[in-house]
Amino acid sequence: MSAFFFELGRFSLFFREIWHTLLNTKHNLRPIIAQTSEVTIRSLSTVVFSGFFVGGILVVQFNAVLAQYDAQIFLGGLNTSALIREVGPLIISFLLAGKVGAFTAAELGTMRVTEQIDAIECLGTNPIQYLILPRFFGIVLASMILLSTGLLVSVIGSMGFATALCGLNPLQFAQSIPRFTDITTLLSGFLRAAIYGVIVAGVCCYQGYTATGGAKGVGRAVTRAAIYTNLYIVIANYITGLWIHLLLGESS
Amino acid sequence: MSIRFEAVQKSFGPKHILDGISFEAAPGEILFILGKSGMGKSVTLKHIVGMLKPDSGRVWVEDLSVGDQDAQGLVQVRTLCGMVFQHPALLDSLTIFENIAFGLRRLARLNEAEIDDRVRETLALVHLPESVLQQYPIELSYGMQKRASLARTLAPKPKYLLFDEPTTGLDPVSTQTINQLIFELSRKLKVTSLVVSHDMQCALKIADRILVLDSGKILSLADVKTTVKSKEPLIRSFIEETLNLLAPEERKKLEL
Amino acid sequence: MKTRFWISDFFDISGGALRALTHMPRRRKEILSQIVSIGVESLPIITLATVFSGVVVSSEIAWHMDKALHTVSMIPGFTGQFILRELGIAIPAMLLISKAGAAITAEIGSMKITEQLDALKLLKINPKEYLVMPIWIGSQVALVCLTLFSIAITLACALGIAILNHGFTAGEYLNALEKLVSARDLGVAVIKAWVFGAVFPLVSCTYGFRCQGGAQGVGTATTQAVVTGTMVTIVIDFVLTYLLVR
Repeated sequence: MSAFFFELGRFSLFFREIWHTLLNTKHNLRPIIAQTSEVTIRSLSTVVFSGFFVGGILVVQFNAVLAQYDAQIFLGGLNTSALIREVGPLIISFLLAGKVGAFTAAELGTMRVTEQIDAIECLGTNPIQYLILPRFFGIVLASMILLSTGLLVSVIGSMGFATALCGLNPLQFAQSIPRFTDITTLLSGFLRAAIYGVIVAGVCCYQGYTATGGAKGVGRAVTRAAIYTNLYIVIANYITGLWIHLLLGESS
Repeated sequence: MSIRFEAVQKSFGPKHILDGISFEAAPGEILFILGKSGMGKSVTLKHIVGMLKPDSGRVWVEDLSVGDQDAQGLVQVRTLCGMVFQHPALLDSLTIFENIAFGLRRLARLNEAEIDDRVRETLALVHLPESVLQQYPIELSYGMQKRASLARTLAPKPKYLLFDEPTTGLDPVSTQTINQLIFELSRKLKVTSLVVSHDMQCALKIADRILVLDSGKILSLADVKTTVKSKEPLIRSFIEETLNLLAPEERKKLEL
Repeated sequence: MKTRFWISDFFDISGGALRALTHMPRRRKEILSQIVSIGVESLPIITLATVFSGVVVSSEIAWHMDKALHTVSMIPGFTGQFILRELGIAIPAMLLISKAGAAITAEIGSMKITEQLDALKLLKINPKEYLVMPIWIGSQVALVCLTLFSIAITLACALGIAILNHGFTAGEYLNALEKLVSARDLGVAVIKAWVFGAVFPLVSCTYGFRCQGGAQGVGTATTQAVVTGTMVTIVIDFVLTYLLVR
């Protein structure tokens, strides 16, 4: 248990380093843009594919429930709202944790155990600035881009599945959307995406950066990155839910 | 003025890795640091470039106390001291040219043309062909990677060279090459070299002095001829084996 | 094409697992140890995740119910349905795929690159039957148990929230729950968990057996196994949901 808090402490120090470096060194946008596009391209197909089917799952589930009450007209709104506010950000972040996060943790971990990070430091460059900042912000930005795309695909997919499987037509589906979604829904979804992106970026960069023990150590770092990312995302989901309800005055 | 350790102590948890060591490297010499695995050899080098801070005592590089430097000060230290790591540690995503130029871009104020010249110059020093410049580390053999990483360290023209196990993991031919290179470069560039190694044979051939670490303390610090005659059991155990492998002329040189 | 070989390896391994079923009684201890290592080790993390999701979901559903139907009386029913049909299954599945799925691939991949698989073959043991079967059974049992556990905890959290925020009493909640949720839903949950638990370990094993390229290759295979496992599970979830949830 105390080990958990010790880790958490080291992890926060890591974030502090990043923040400190961000404020105190000159910046170059190009590596960040390069990282963002790399991450986005690598994960696009996964996100689109999964988004599509997750939309389908929710549509079928909600349809079954609403049909009991003859409330199918609400399908569009309910589905879209649930997707944008909760399910979309959660599932897409899970996937990103697996694809992007694990890759980054492995990359940084390998660099660490082959002393490349030490070499960078000894050659007069701050490794946090050179390696971590572009990756960190690349992942956060890419998460937001991928999330938006994923949500769009999910909603369209839902509409498609609703038409094909639940006997609604697209118009009926779209009709109820404004009732359940407004600007706060979008904000809520994006806020979650940004926070989850930060978690994926932070945890995976940290685990990779602090890997020790050769190739096996890299493997351990990757596993830990995947597990902790998912765990923190679920916890963050809860906390952001609380805050959003408080800030935007929605009562439950 | 050189590299100096003053009563340096360093522990990791309950283990005393360095237990009050003091020594000074003579300018221009090749100093080998020997000892069993885990006895603090790499830790010693890491203190010099500021990757580790002593728990007590001081590490001096010329007039800079390494442990007390801020970020700017550390850059100064690292300009003076170049470290060659155990792994080639070349950056996978950069070409060899960019790898060698890496330190130059940050530790020296040179324009592009000067950087180009310096890279080629350094490449020649380590006897690598210019054709490797546009290749990536993964395309080179391990021995060539090691030489490229040596070039990278040499490019900013440091006054002190630190080698962490330079020949561990190399085949006998490459080992010979690297040892020869270390000797040649030290003499040619008039730098002070500290070499951490297991390789007693190499030490006997090219070192000026040998420092033996055991249990965090300095067991012996003397020139090669004196070390070879030492009565310490640990040193004798290192030496017996190695002496048998030396050619007769080499043994004569050691006055045995 | 690489996918074709992957798929053929996948069926090869699945076949191996099935063939090895006849050895089940003899290998009870190993199977048990796999169940424990896959299931019990993930318990803390799944409990944590479940508690947090349970609370969030209940709040969300309540909010939506309020907006749509302006009634809170059906919250227990809807929440219960959603938990049993989807959430209570998806969360343990996703977490297990990332934890156990990665571990399985890493272990088999390491065995491959350290030539332990070859050693088994020389001893006339088919690694695809020998290694896969306990993992396969272990995953199924572990996931079903974890799912039931997760469902119980999520429902408990939902109950807690309903009592605290909406003035239900335990009795009222359970009554309302009973009206909408039936044994059929529980059956659906078990079937889904069983199928997920049967598929992801085979995906992980396939990536492990096909591993190449030293330690880095193991890392790549592990990542791919988790991502593919998750995506395959999502698709299967969709198909099963469509077939079973009416």
